[in-house]
Amino acid sequence: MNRQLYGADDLPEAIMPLCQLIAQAPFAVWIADRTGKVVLFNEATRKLTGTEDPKKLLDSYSIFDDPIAAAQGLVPHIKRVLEGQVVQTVVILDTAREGFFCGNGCKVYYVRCLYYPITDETGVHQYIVAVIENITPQYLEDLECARVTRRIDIANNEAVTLEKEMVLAKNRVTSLKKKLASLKKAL
Amino acid sequence: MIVNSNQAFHLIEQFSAQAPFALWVLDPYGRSVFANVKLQETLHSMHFMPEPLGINLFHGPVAEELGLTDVCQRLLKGETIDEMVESGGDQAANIDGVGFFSLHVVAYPLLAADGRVDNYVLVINDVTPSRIAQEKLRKKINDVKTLQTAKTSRETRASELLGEITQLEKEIRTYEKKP
Repeated sequence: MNRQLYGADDLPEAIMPLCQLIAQAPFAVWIADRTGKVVLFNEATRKLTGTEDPKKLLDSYSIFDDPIAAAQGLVPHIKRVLEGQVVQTVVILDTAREGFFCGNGCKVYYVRCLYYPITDETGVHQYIVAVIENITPQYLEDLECARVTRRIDIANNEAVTLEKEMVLAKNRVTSLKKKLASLKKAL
Repeated sequence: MIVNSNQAFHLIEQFSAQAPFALWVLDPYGRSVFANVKLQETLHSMHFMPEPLGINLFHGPVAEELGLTDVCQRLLKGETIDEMVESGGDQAANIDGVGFFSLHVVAYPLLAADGRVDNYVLVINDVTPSRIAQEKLRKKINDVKTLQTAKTSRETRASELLGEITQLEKEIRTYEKKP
């Protein structure tokens, strides 16, 4: 048995190099069938989710019943993969919310999920592939960029308001100077 | 066991072939042994026309042309790589110019049970548009500092104008009280 690819035991030696491509990938990969049931997943998936019992995931997990996917409204989008669509999204993966995940040491990650179909020779989309990358550091950086963008907008608005107030003030100074000159002349 | 070996083979083969990301598998000497359709599309979008399957990435000019020299050297040392790679001359000056490319590269060795390298895998995503957008945002962030400096100077000027208005109004009131 290949210990880094779960769901496919006793694979022939001839196809092992190809299997290793997924098994040893540093990013999480799982493949689900049309019912949403996961049939294959790799070691990176097991590590990311903290799954201690791979069999439990293979026996009882369906992506269509996933509590995180359901809570974030993702299930209808994932189902569209079976119509041939490629779907990419970023979700918060809170391992405490998944039934088969770890009890202690649960973690929260931002993950980028790429879902795409595997299509058979008759054109039927038979399987859903998910490639999941932990992008927490980059995502937090992006959030900071978004905050800075908002600050830029605020700074721009303030600059425009200040500019308008200065034009009014300059006009007021000109008008007062004229009035003062006229008063001085009258005296 | 959820899938049998035939199904597993089919799934893994199609995982690679139908992937929406570029996938390149090399033998231990750097010769291409697998390239999916998306890799060909990605290389063509970079105006790199030779077919990937004829390429040796560790020897010859291709790695340098694609900005992958450092990736290849570290891969040969057994490192797993997950980083952005940029090519196209002076990237800072040429960020949105013709020929600039930004690639997200994940590369890793496939090890046999005895620890020797069977293959090397490169997963490549062309992220040039988002990199250009990010660089524009970075420039905007620098603009904020300039804006803040300008704002301070304008606030000082606004304060001076208000002082001038108060002084003028005071003088006018003095003149208006005079008979």
